[in-house]
Amino acid sequence: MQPRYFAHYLLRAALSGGFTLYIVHLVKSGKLMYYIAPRMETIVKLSAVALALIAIYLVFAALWALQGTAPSCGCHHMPGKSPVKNTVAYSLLAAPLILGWFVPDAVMGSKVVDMKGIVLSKAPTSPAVSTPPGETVNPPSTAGDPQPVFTSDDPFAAQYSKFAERLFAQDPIVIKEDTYLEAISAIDLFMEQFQGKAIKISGFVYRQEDMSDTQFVVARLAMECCSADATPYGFLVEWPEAKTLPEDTWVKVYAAISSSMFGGMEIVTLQASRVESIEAPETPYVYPNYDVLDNLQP
Amino acid sequence: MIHVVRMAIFLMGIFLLSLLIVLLMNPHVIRSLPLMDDPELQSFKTMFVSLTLEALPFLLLGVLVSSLIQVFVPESWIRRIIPRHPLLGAIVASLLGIVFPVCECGMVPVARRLIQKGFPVYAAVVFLLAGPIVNPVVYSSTSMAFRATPSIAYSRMALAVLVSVIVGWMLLRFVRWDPMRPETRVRLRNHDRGHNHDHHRHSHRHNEASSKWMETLDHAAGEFFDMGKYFIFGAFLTSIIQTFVPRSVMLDIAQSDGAATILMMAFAYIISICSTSDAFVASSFASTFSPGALLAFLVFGPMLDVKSTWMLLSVFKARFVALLALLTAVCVWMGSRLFEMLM
Repeated sequence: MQPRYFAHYLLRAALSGGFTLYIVHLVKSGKLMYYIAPRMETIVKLSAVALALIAIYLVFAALWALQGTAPSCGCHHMPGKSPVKNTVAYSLLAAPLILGWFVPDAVMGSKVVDMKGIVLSKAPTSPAVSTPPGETVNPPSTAGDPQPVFTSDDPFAAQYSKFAERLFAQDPIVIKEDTYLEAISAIDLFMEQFQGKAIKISGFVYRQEDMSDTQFVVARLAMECCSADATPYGFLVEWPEAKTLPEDTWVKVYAAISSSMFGGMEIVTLQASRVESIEAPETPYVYPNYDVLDNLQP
Repeated sequence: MIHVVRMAIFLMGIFLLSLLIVLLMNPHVIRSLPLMDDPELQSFKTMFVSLTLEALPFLLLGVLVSSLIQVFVPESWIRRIIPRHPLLGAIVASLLGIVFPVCECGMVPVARRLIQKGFPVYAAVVFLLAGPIVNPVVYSSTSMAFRATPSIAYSRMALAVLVSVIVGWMLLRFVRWDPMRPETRVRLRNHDRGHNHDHHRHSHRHNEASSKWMETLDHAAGEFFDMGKYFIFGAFLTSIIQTFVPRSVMLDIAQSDGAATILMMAFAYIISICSTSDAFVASSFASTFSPGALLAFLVFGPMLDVKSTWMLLSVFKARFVALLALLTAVCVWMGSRLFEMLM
């Protein structure tokens, strides 16, 4: 049992303890959700507890090492002697802590969307309405049409029928955070039926290179477990003053639902009548709703 | 002369340590540097921290189970779980993941421990491949993400079992050399020797039962740091890729379905997402890629990706990992093309 293990045990205790403290810090400052989806929060908190226990144990182990006593069986998992390897190993282990502590917490925004690519339409097939190429915008049809029917041959779309009906009943349609993904999917899948409806939706401003001066996307980042799986979703918005909106600012868009050709596909397009600046919401990301679609209230 | 140098290094160490402590107490000094506002640095940091945090619980669970197996489960039990017959053995191994649903990060320490306790290597490999997929958590998240096409969910399970059994069987038949890294074997020998040795020197401050718990904790702590550094390196690489390589570069539409399948497999390998949430990402591609390509993404990713390759390299020889990767890739590709024709 070598006394040099003392330094290793102590360093490891510091790293374990460091992770615990970092997780506690994130929870207390409310920033944990920047990194982890809410459904994962409990187990991450539990791992903080486990790491604290490990840290405490390692402190004892360090003291025992100093006394020259083996804690129980310290003959494995012990680091080798190479200072280079040890430095690299411990730097790697410390890296998330150092970066986590010293780089400010940031909400993922346009830069991440650029990398991941925004999803503007999930519909597997375009609806029957065909737009001649070259024409960019369909004028919204007049509201006051009788209640459209939400049926589809596509089983994926059919799952959203009931939910789409409930959404259609609202005037204006208000997109809520906890049903965000389901609502935009429903509108996207039943694009024709939703033509002309008034809608209120919030998100951050995102612009792609191939968008015109009157176009931007009102976007949200959807996360399922952690930022690696975060996927950007949104609707294309047509607004004459689009160019004045800085990227990543949060806005509320009041618009009428229509559609247009973009990137070779027909996608939902919002004809905005009003675009308001808003404060960034407490919960910047949206998450899939796991309730049964048929019972979901928009 | 030596004394002076040692003194200098010692003082330098104290100075740096104090500097570190001061900085830790006053992070705003660093946080307000203009460099810290670089959006790419922030993206990278978000990705890196997020990957590490979400894997921590599974890594801890993995090393805990591995340590419990080490301390409490006798070797005779381990050797008896897997039936002698290789095919039967492989099938049983592929279903073991049902009792142990974690990310691949948690599986590697358990697999290593099982091998050290006498679990046949090929069965451990089958477990490593199928475990991250064939379990209730992943099944439910897949069927949730692909609500309207339940065939995706059970095809995923079926293909995972098929591929893992085939790969395991092939490795059993064709690998005649020791696939384990030398350190892993040496540790086992030292451990046995060490146990007998240390019993004389123990100051018996604990009775038998609690010293077993201490041993578990000791193992778990050590293994956590062993595996942790490999995992974090994998997470580091993944974060670099996710921050600097746009998805569009990886997803430029391939000409044929076969090529698209390869593309999705490469994509799955590079982005290294946990098997509990990759269905969510795959569903956002549902309109662009064929079901076969999606299936390949969903099966190949949890079996092999940047993070898990790195962790495998900590346990197995590089040659073995390469062989494993090749066999898995070929099987997944062929399997998903086959399933697509049947779906």
